[in-house]
Amino acid sequence: MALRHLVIREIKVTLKNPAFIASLILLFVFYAAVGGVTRVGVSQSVEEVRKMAMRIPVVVEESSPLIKALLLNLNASVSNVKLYQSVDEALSENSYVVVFPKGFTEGALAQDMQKVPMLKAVIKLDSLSQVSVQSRVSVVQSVRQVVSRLLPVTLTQLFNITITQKEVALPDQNIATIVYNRVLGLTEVNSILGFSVAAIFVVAFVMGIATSYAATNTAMEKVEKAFEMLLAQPVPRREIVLAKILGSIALALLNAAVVLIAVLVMIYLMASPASSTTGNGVATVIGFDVALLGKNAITYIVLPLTIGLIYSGAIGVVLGSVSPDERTASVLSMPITFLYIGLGIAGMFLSLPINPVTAVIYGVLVAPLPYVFIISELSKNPELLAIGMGTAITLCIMVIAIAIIIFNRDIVILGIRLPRRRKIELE
Amino acid sequence: MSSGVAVEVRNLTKVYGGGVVGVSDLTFAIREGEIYGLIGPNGSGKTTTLRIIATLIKPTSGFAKVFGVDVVKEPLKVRQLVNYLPEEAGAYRDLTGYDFIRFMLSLRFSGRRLEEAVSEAIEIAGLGSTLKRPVRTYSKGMKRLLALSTVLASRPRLLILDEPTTGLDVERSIQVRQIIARYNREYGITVLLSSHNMLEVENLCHRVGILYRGKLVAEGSVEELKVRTGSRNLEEVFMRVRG
Repeated sequence: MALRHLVIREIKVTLKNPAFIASLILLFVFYAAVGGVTRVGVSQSVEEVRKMAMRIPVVVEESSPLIKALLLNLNASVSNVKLYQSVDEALSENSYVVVFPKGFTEGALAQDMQKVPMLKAVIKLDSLSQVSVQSRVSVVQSVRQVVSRLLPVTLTQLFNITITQKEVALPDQNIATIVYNRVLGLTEVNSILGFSVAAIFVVAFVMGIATSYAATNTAMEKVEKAFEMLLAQPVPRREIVLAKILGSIALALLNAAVVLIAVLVMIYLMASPASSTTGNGVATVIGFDVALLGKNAITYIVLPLTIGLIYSGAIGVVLGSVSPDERTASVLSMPITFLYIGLGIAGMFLSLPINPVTAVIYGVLVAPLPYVFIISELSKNPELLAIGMGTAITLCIMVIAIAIIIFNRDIVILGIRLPRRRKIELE
Repeated sequence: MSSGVAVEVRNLTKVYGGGVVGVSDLTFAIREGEIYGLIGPNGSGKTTTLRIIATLIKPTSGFAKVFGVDVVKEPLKVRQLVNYLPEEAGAYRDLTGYDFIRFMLSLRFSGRRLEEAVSEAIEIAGLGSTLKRPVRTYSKGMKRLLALSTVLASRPRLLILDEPTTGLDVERSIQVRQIIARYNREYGITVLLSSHNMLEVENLCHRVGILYRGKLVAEGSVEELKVRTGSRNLEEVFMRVRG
């Protein structure tokens, strides 16, 4: 009997907390937004694939009866193969081109089963996003599969021979991309995308920690009943706000550093001697990113991280200053962390081109700024970076100003008071 | 006792969100060097009044001045003149008592003056080696003494104390009252305090103001109020003036 009352009390106390309800709403909005973004991304992907598959642009670097017959069969199979003289010509009309390179026939006819016919492909990217890259790659790989299926049929038609089926290969290193007028291999593009996602995640994660620390520490000060004593001291409120922001930054960096070191230790301890090549692979990718993006690669993380920490610390101080206790503050700051990470990475899965408008959006979110840095570097367009950083810095100053204003208002002492029925009461 | 005005409150009104009235048209003055007590039941507006004078919240209308300085127009200047001990004031639970004293006083003093103030606070607190322990291990009375020691050692011109002995045992309450009286006497510190405890106010305060439903319903020395209302003690005074 008592257990029932105890359980009901546990649930009721939490449900009566408006911050808990607010966090549920925020989480719902977050997951709905992630679903919506994914849906938009997938729709774009499907649409792109549909458009691309309507025509197969081909460039032939080697003229042989086999390739001619293969193209005829390909055209008969998918009905819209168009032959171009050069890759540039093909890409002026299409977003990708499949190339039959020199040596294709030799690979197809070789008795050596290790030697396989190779295709090449060049993909033109309007924006550097997971969706646009994956959709184009999936199309050229589909073409490869069709060519692979048609090869034994064509050989039988031409030479009246039956040979053991060979797979036509289109490895990643044979896929080149043209992005922002630069030619990059698919491995390089994937590496840049991986670097961007990792950088965004790191910035967003540390921002989340800073918000959480700032919010809970500020609210805890109220619970400890030291807050009013502090505010009654002859210290400008802006100094109290700045101290809280700087404190949360220091704690977040310490936390992030410990997490990073712990993860590295975990990876080191988990790795067997045989898998040490994995570590070399990671090092190679990092080295590659640094080589490709220049020595500024570290700056791409450090600058957004610095702004992000100040920004998120200020948001945390705002949340903590209007929260009556640390439980409310932590309940409010937790969904904010999800928002930093979710919204930060969402852009990577949309084929949004980086332009002044999206640069402003990414500046508001702060966490995707490493991505803006990279795009700005690749496209040699520093304006985008200036817009993104300018937005973030402006917003950062605005949030700090809001925190200072709140600290100079009654709300910092009284907390948020929800409107009640209009009646005169005495306090 | 000096004759200058330490606190001047005129037509002070505070209406919270939702129309809740904290205080309404409150007017009173406190002389320099005086111990002035605000008494009244829960929700009568005592804490609201103290918070406004301590510059923590702003009035809806009217004004309050501390030694002639307006609490809304020049809050930082006012904070240099006052120190405030909130009701149930605590301390940062993971700091030691010593660290808390040092931190709070470092916001006002530096160098030699800071060291002197810290020593003074340690003496007032009288917690001995307990000051080396984290505040979370302290009893309520110890926390109260710790907080009180920092505000007294800062020797403000006006000391604002919200329910300084609430929740303390008799021994601690007497100790706190003695310390307040000593600082008022020795350093001429003006004290504005609120209390539920009529006996405490009767023994400690030179003058009292009785608040009821946000309004000041009576004011004067304890003896004056007793004579005026024909009461034997302050409790009877309160019951008669509230109507």
